[in-house]
Amino acid sequence: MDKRQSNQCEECSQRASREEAVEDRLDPVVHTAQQVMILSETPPPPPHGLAPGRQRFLAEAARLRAESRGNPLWLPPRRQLFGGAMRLATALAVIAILFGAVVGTTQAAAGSLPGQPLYGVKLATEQIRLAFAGQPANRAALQQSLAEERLDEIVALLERKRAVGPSVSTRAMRQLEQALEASAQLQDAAATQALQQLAEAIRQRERVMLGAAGESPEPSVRELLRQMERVRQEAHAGQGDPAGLRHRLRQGTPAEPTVLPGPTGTPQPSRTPGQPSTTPPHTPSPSGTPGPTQTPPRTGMPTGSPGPSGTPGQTPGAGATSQPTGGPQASHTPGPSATSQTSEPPHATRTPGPSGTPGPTGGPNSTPGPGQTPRQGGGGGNKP
Amino acid sequence: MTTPDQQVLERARTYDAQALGEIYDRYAGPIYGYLYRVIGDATHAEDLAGEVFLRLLQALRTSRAPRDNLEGWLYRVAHNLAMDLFRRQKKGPVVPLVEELVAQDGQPSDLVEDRQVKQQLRARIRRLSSDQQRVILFRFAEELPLAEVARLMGKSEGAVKILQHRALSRLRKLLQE
Repeated sequence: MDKRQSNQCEECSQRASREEAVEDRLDPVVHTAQQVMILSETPPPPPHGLAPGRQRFLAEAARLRAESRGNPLWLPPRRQLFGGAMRLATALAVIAILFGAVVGTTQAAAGSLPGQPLYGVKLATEQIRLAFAGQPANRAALQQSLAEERLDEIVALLERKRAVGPSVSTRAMRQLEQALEASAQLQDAAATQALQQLAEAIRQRERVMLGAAGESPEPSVRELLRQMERVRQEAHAGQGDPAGLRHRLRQGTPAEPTVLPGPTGTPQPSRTPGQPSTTPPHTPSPSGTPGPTQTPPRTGMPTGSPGPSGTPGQTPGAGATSQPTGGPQASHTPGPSATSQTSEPPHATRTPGPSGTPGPTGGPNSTPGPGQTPRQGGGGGNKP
Repeated sequence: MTTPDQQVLERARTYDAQALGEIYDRYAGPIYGYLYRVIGDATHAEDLAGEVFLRLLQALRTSRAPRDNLEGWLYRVAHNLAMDLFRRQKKGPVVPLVEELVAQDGQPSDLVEDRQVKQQLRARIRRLSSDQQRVILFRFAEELPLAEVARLMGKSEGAVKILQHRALSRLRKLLQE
């Protein structure tokens, strides 16, 4: 609609009401307005006057006034002035209640264990936290924290003498792998620190878990312990060579097993005699980045024996680096967490390495430091 | 700062008899006149005028109560009640009472013809939109100034001008049918 036209219409309507001439173009419209004006006659007075209506109106008002005073549920009209504020307050209250319920449920779920009703909420909350982790460092720290949480859950189940199902242990293994990968993806310095923390965290949980599992742990727990040891070795190996660890993770090849301080600071717990390890034999990792500490290429080395160290930068001491990997262990007792124990038979026939003597870890109570970590071909602990 | 409508409404919300009496005395006459011009029948206009104020009492108990511009609210309710009446009486416009016709001055036949013309006009107006009907009736039946119409309808004067022009154009076409 043209504003000018409507203005003209209004002006002409006013002129018409004053009986003045209007534009021809607008005349029909003005004529229509004049037609409507026949309705502007003064209406006749109401047949019964307005007084009866007034009485009825006030009588009804009096009835409502009395009703409202007798009804405790009736809201005073003054408060209705703030209907908008009341609605806003109600909405805020509902939001606060919902928020409180969510927070309460989340907090209650935080202490739940596998198999409990709120455990799903706990896992979902963790996924949300992971989604918002942001920086790789934060993500790695969170992954490690979640891995520790999974292991603590299993310890709690064991302490309560409850069964640890395969799904529970598998979930923990997966979380350990994710923590390892997230740590390895960091910058070298940060990766070294994160891997060190991860290895230490696993070592502590291994010790606690062994104590809680008792003499004969369930198969799923045994397998979990083996995997924990493997991840710990990976983490330990990656501390000196994060790039190598990243490469191995990409390739899907595990690190060379090394003898690390066991959960109690002693060599690895001995495996049940005669029990075959389910871990497949390690194949040498030729793709491991050879460093200055890498042992000489081995020709004719039996399959399954530890190959060239994939962890050349494992901060060994000078003496340690000169030790051959896969040296013979005459009295080697396989431990359950030594993933390379299937390569023991070749060890027995292997000729001694250059040193020919067991390293400083031969003693059961030796606790070599990080820079003194010796390598033994069997990777297993010594017989106590 | 509160308007007179707000002040009287504030008291009316407690069903204060004096405030309600003021409201009725101030607006009952104009509302009756408006209803008569819309319907064309004094009895129905009187009944509906009473109904408008009862609706006000009901609304005062709820959030639908007018906060301001009480007069505009009353006119809107009156118009809606009139349209409801027409919808209920699908047979056609309200037939005026014979007593009214004979009581008027002039020849009865002229009065009947005059009423027929007006009822036809009202019937055409009812085919407009609700806002168009109200602006036409306010401006040319109630003969209210533009600013007053804008206040009652809660619109700007420019919007009312446009609405008025559209309503007149459409009504002209309807009257030519």
